[in-house]
Amino acid sequence: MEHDLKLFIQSPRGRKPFTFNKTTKVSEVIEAARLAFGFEPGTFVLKRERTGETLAPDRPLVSYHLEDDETLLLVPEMGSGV
Amino acid sequence: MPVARDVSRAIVEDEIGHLDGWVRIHNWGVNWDPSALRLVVEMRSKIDNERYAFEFLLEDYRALPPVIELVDPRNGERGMRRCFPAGGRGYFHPNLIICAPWSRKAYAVHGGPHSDWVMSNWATYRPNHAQLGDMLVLLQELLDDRSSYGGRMAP
Repeated sequence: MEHDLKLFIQSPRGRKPFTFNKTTKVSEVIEAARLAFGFEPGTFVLKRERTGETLAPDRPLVSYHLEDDETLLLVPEMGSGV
Repeated sequence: MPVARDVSRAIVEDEIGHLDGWVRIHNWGVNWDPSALRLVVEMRSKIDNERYAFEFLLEDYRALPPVIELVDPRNGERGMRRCFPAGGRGYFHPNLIICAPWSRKAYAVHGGPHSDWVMSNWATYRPNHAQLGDMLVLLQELLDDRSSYGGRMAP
């Protein structure tokens, strides 16, 4: 489907393929990945592996001109030591 | 709360089985000794290119969190200030421990500052930092965090 984008998401708990409509918001991608990898609700960062660019949660995927089969990195927020 | 060594070994191998992508991305050096339940991961800070080796001793994992020690990859020295990075949003503690619920040495019973945590509940305090991959990716993020990383704690 020309409106779909095939991506891989690499998380600390593995790597999985996903397909999203290009208009999907980054926040929705993060939520789908969070559930797929078994993370609890929280704050996450999604970055392009290729460039290290962090994707803004409120923007749609299409605004980043991602390519099919590109890998995004999902990382839980660092938080702080205690 | 002892865990059979074979059980800990199987859990560790399942969790580190997901690390290939990160090993490639960050060029980690990974050494897993299943007989000793000892995992060493060498990482490099992208800020100053300094190398750090994080040793995870995994006896009784996952009933208890890892015992984490820092080893200087230059000479094998262990647990000294020059083995540790500084900063790291408070995770790299000046008492030479990783200060987080997923670090056994952070608990008072092991000489750490936290008498307020129950060690058997460790994985519930920061549930998104409760598997080995979570911890390792976090450590790399801290080494690359320009807002907090402070270089090697001592020359």
